[in-house]
Amino acid sequence: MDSTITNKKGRTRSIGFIKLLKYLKSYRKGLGLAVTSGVLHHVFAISTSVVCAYIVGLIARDNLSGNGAAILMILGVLVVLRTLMYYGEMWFAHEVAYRILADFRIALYNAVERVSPGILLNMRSGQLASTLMSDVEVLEWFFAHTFGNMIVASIVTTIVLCFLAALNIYLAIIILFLIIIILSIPLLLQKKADEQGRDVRDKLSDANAEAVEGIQGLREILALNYKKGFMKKMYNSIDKLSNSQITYGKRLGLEGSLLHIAVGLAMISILTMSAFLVYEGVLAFEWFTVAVILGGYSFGPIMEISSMARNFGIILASSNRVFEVLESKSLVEYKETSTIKGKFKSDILFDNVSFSYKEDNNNAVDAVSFQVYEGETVALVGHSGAGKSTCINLLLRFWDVKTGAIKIGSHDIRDMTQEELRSMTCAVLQDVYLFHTTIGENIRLGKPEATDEEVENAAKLAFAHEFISGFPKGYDTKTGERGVQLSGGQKQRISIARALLKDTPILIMDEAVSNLDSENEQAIQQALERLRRGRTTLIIAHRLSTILSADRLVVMKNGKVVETGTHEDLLKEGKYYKELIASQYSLPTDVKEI
Amino acid sequence: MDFYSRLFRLTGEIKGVIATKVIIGLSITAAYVIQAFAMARGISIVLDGGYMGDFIKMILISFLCIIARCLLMYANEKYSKKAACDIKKVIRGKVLEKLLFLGPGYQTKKRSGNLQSLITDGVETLEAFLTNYIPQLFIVLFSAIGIGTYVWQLNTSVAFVMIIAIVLAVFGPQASMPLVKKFIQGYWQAYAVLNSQFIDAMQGMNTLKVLNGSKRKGKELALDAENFYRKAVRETTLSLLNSSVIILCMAAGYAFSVGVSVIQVSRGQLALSSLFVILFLAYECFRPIHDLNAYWHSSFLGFSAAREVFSIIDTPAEVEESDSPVNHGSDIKLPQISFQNVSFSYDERETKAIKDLNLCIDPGKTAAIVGKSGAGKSTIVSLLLRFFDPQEGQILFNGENAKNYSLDYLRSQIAVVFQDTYLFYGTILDNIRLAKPNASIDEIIEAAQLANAHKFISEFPRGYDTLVGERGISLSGGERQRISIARAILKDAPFLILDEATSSVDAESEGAIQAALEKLVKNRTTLIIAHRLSTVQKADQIFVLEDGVLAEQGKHEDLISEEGIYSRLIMAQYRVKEVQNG
Repeated sequence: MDSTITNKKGRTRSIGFIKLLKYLKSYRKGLGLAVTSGVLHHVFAISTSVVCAYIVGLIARDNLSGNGAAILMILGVLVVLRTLMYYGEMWFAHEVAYRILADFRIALYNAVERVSPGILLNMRSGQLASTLMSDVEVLEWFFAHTFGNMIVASIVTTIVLCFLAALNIYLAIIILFLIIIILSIPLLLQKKADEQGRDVRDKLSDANAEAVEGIQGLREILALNYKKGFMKKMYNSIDKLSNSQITYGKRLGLEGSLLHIAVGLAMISILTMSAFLVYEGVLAFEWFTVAVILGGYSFGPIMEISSMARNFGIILASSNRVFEVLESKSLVEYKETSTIKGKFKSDILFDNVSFSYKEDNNNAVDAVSFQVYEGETVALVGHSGAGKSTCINLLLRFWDVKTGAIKIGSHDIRDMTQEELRSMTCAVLQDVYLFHTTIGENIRLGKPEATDEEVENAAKLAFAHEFISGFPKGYDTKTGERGVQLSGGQKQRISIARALLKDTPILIMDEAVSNLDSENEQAIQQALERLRRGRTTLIIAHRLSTILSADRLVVMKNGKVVETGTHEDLLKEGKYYKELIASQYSLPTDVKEI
Repeated sequence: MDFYSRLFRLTGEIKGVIATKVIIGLSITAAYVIQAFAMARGISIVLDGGYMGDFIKMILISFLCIIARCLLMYANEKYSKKAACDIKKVIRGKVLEKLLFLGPGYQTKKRSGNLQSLITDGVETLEAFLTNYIPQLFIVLFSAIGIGTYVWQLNTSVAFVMIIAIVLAVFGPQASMPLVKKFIQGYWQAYAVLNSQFIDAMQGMNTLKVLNGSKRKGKELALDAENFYRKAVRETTLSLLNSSVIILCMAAGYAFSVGVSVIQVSRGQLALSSLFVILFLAYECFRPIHDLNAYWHSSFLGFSAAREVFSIIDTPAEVEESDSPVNHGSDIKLPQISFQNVSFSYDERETKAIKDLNLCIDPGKTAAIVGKSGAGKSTIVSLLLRFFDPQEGQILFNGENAKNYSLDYLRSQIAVVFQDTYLFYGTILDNIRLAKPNASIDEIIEAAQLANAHKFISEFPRGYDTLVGERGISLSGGERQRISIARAILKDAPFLILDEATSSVDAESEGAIQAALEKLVKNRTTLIIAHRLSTVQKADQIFVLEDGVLAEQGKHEDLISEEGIYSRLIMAQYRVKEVQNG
């Protein structure tokens, strides 16, 4: 992902901003209110200063008429209005920002959904999380403190310039000239800022990944006495982050100083210029003080965006990461509407399927053809890396085949809607993932409308009811993150309960490689037996018992199907299968034993 | 201790830094003030139609002030970042050290997404408060006192207006703190919860897809994000009230000090030249407060993070280090381990995981603990490693209570092969070396060979330098396990625990691992936790646990003939095989 950013570096800035602006479109009303109150806030603030300067000028020339109370009253009203407008500006801007932030998170989730699990090939989950949450948080800066402020600043500056021009055109020209300088400073340092901003975010996400390791690998750290080493590693990544942030800070300081000089120069030039005008008799003294104050303080809004622009680097780096995910192309496109009429048969056909995970990689499966008849159980057998999991990934449409086709009931799965495919298939994956919610909800995932009774029934069939009801809170027991409190066997039984509840005609299984205690193993074997009954089943088999119980075997090697047939046939006729079984299951002794 | 004073105490770590920042900040203010005087003087000169050369002099002074400020600001920005990085490092270190000390016991109660976001992003948010807000507080105080005193000499009523405005601007927001506090807490909690939910959902995306639940989960998350949005808006509504008070005080302070000055001049109670000074000075007086407000605003998220940081630092440890650890006994090659009347529950409300357990493992022998899942087998491992301490009874290590050793020493005497092995991001070499940081490459390769791991490692294009872990390539369960065994071999501790060591391993690897383990148990006191009964049959002693109670013990043959729980477990295993056979 980093390489793509560097490739696009030249045009990232403008593209980044245009993309950000696109997202602001649907928030026109809130933004409008924020900008209006923002303009008024500045107008009232500057008016206060102008009134102050004006009365100072008048009193200096003994021209002040009217009483003090009236003056204080006017000032009081201006002050209150300014405060109200400040509140309004900030409130509306934040409201819009938070709104957009919420929308962004959702959009990002949907993007991840679209491109999973492909995205995991490129990103580690720690980094993905950091992209989603922190980067989106950074974007708040743009939405709440940059975009609206830019409009406000341009409007307010125009008003001030007009006012100065009315006093004297030369004053306005000087200010305009200096404004251009002020705005060009961040532009000059832009490239550096972008690079540094990206670097800071990268380093932060590295530190993040390091922290994740510390938390997830805590047990190992303690058991191996690796505490010191880990802390050293952690401090090392913190130091790298620090260095990156300090570099960033230095540039920030440089930019700030340059801006400051420009503003200082503006103030001095206005003072000198208007003093000259007073000497010439062109400008009245009461307007002299006003001009000086305006010259000095009217840069407020411009300075605000300029100092905001100093952070554009970080904002852009974040938005680039966010868009990277948002705009990742979908791995598979589902048909929107169903084109298939009538009921499906549930047989599966792999027709000359080839696929590779990355363009330049070798094919993970190569011209694979096999068939699973309705109600039949077929086991995929082979060494790890032979392409078994890829077959299942393709059947689940996590990816699409490169060439060839996969058909269910003689329909290409690419012609099915998501709903159709998912209602035909259910998978029990090797790595059972339990969500951080109750066990009941975890079972219900596949069928949200299921009654408690149905959930319980599924659990009973999966031999999970007994241990679940053993928990004090039963089905309402919350699973910890990644199901820490449940044993592997228990998790698998929950996963089987899910599949039983979902009740689809096709079952896809990636058998867990792990061994289980005898109680669990017995329960799981029986539960699976029940699950498979009456279903078309494609299973990645690791256990000899599973291989033996399959109707037919598809033996894979290096992405190709080398042999198919029953266990007995293959033992008799096959060559590779015999080798495989002998090496993996130390046959023939094992066979005799069982 | 009060939350704010604690936060404030954190800055004690960087006292010098804060002082320097205050000095730089005050110098900046001083440069502003000098410039204000110069400009006021310049205006007077213009009003009086004075000598142009004097006016130019004032302009030059102003210009010098600007240059001085630029340099100071540059230094300030650079220095601030450095200071911020230093303090963040200290805080991160404190939190991590504490987490490491608390051990896995604390983690089971906390969700890891939560902790991780605290350590990185959470601590990041503390920066604004610690390195900007606090020094600025001093700057406001000193500059206000300075300018206030000066104005007081010019005119007391003007000074009065200024001082009231300053006091309100600085202390007003503090007064509303208790109210705001509640909302901030809610905000951070919602943020953290949302964070872990997104991580949870994304990690389980495959499961969601398979179960046709990804869209539904998306809707759920949308609801949560909505909830977060509401909290954020509510928080802002309040926090903005705070900053509005500051804006109000500043604006009023400036306007009224100038307004009152004008009236004083018209009454002849203030010199005109002083009025010009006040016109500029009043602005300078409130400039630091304006910055203070900005810092205050950006400090908000940090408060909630600070609370989390404190709550971790304050968490009492599951185990305590002995005050005077013994740490001898390294001369005893083969330790003896015994449990005496040990009872333990993870949570006081829950039933005991271990009840009144007595067992003894003799030096150099291999003992096995068997039982159903949930019988308390893993708890025994956690107790031996002192992730927890038993509530009753004691665990003796070579006759000495395990609590009397230092944690480091105790853990250095134990090597564990866990059911699932965590690999850190880094090379395979690094991962094995964890067990013995000063091990030579030859030692590591030898350990890998003994663990039957050398072959598969050498088959990688980059061999031992292959990157593994979450960011590296993923290894199969069996491969990870063999790396774990290599670690244990390298660690060469006299007491070995095999915690379901072969259970997450595919058939391919199991034979290799069994062979490696058999080499490993030689010349060690070994405890095998197992549910694969075939692996425990050769053990010198077998302890059978049921519901946390020691139900049976003895050798395989004895237990079989007893026809108790153990023999039933064995029978169950045979039945599984029969089922598998069809």
